[in-house]
Amino acid sequence: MIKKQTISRKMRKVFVKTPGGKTQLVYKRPKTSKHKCAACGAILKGVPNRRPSKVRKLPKSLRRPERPYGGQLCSSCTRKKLRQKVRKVSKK
Amino acid sequence: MILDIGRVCIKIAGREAGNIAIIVDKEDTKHVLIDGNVKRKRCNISHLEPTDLSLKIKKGASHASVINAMKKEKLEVKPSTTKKPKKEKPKKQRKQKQPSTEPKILQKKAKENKKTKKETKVTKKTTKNKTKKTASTKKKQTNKTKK
Repeated sequence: MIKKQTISRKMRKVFVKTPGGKTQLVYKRPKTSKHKCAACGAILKGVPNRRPSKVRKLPKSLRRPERPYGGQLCSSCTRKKLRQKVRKVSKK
Repeated sequence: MILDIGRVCIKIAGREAGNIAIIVDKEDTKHVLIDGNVKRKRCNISHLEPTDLSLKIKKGASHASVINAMKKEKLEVKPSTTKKPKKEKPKKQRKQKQPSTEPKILQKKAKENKKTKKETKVTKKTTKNKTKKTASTKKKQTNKTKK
């Protein structure tokens, strides 16, 4: 019987070269998508795109940048947002 | 100038973004020295957003005087993040022998048994060494004869 996960095409096909010299088909988990900025949609830096089970094992400081809105907004969008906040308060 | 000494700003970039920073000194046209709810350091002007508040402080004022001025203006003061001193681990101590509750005759027997065990170990070692030596001498002799 063929495994269900191979029939459903959920798994990624990877050809691996064995030490004997033959090429073998190996099924691997699909890659996760890259995290994007909630405001502008740019790809976020400093956020790993690994499987969630492996990201959970990382320390919290490696999961996202350590600033407000880190891991949610890109650096330029956070600057804009903080500037808007300051200007709103100073107007009042 | 907007960014003059004593101006209350809010930091926009970096890990201290969103915290209150107060300009203490000017370094050049692009950089200033900041203090307050952030680490006292040189900062680029583009990383600061000035507010309409300003404090009365001297040029190059110390951290304590800046915080006092902030308290007078009723600004929020965050405690400085200093590392906690590490606790020293207690040194391991050997366990002290407790006086045995066995009768004296049994204690003597246990001592004698220990002695005999030691002697047997020594004899085993000497026999092993002798066997090794004999084997090595035999090999040497055979090599000589071949030559």
